[in-house]
Amino acid sequence: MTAFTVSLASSGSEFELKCKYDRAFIDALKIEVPSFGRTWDNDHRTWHIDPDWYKEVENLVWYHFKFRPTWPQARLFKPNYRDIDFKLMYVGNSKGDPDRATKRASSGTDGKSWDYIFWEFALANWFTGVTPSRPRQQLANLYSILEIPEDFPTDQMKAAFWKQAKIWHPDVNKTPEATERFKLVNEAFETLSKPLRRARYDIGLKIEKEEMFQAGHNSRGNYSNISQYGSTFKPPVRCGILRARGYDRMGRFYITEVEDWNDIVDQRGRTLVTKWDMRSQTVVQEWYYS
Amino acid sequence: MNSNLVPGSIQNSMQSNNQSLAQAFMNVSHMILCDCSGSMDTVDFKDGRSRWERMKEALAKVQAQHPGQIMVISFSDQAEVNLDGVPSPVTGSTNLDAALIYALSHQINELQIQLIVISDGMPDDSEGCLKTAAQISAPIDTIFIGPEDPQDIGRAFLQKLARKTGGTHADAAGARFLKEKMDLLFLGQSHEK
Repeated sequence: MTAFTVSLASSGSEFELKCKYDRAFIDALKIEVPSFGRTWDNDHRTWHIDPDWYKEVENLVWYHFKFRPTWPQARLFKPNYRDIDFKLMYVGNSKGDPDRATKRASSGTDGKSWDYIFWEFALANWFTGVTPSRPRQQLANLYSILEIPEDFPTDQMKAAFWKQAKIWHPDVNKTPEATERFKLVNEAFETLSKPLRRARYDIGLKIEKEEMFQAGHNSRGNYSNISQYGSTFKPPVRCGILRARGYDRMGRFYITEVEDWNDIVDQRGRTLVTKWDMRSQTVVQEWYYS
Repeated sequence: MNSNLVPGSIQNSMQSNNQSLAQAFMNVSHMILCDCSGSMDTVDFKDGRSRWERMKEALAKVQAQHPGQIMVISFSDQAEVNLDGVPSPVTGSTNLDAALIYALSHQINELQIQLIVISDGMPDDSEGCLKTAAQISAPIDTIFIGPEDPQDIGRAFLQKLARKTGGTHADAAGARFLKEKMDLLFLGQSHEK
């Protein structure tokens, strides 16, 4: 195996990435790319990467292996859209991820698996007729900017800063994102190197994580206002027989358009809804009069 | 789409400044604990607006005045954060203790965040509230928005809560003039100790 190879998977929906074992690279990959953007294929010793995250991976590869990979068809990557019919038993609140505002998908399930991901705009469009804006700019987790864990010692922060500053200083790094990234590196250092500011940021991070958890497990099942990534659209919690358009990626089906949604109604005219209470291991079904 | 997003709310600041919640939290100076129990549906005045609606309006104005500085936390059966600045819908009981515990568990003591409680009645567990409040080092300001009745036990409790924590109590019966009372608290002034 060469030091690093990258290829497009046969399905065309993800990148396959092979590289020699490097603990620091793997740690950084886990920080930069969220779990839904990567999977590890142990049989083939290969990482599968969501094409949305190739930029982050490219930067990591450059930093760790001093190699700038050519991404086969990366810029030409186009999802293969198709229609599916399925029975939806639960839709969670929309979730984002701490670093990127573009990932605003809600999870749907057929009651057995979590194989359907709704883009939030698809749900909002179906239920309100309005497509919310999709912010493209990246949001920052200051720890991941400096590539350090959250318990990193404050007195060593300067070393972490210099390490990143050397990589991202615009005089050295000529990539388009270098200026913006260098600003973030400075901001991260300014905040994390001062104990009081860091304490406040850490509490903010704690709240951020709690709110993301709540967004996925809202026990009230009502319109939530706690989603933090742009829009706060929360679909009604009813189940349904759906026809949807979308594309396959990373073993899941990403829905970009709801084409038809028929509620599941019993003989008494009640609609089937589901909720997920905090202490429950699974969704709870209830029948409600509309 | 969120048509209710309040200008000046934390979420609004996050969007305007392209910040994460953790970054936006750096600017928070006040947590306002808002009673959203069933009684907040009460209409005290002829204009037909409930206490909750008046509170929502007053909160919106204060957030616009202090953008990104106010974290709204609603409490009824439980406590929850409202990043969009709109208090949760009215329902259930008055679990103020849950909101105080939330504030305490997020280290408001260390971060020197001011607390303001807005409520129209007695909490579910008044003793529990006072015990939790005793662990909070910051003064707790309180605003009563219940009935005019001067003997109301909810008012008496909020006065006690403010007094025991070194905070300031204000009256805004029926949530009328609530915005003005909040202004006074933000300025560190008071008409009633």
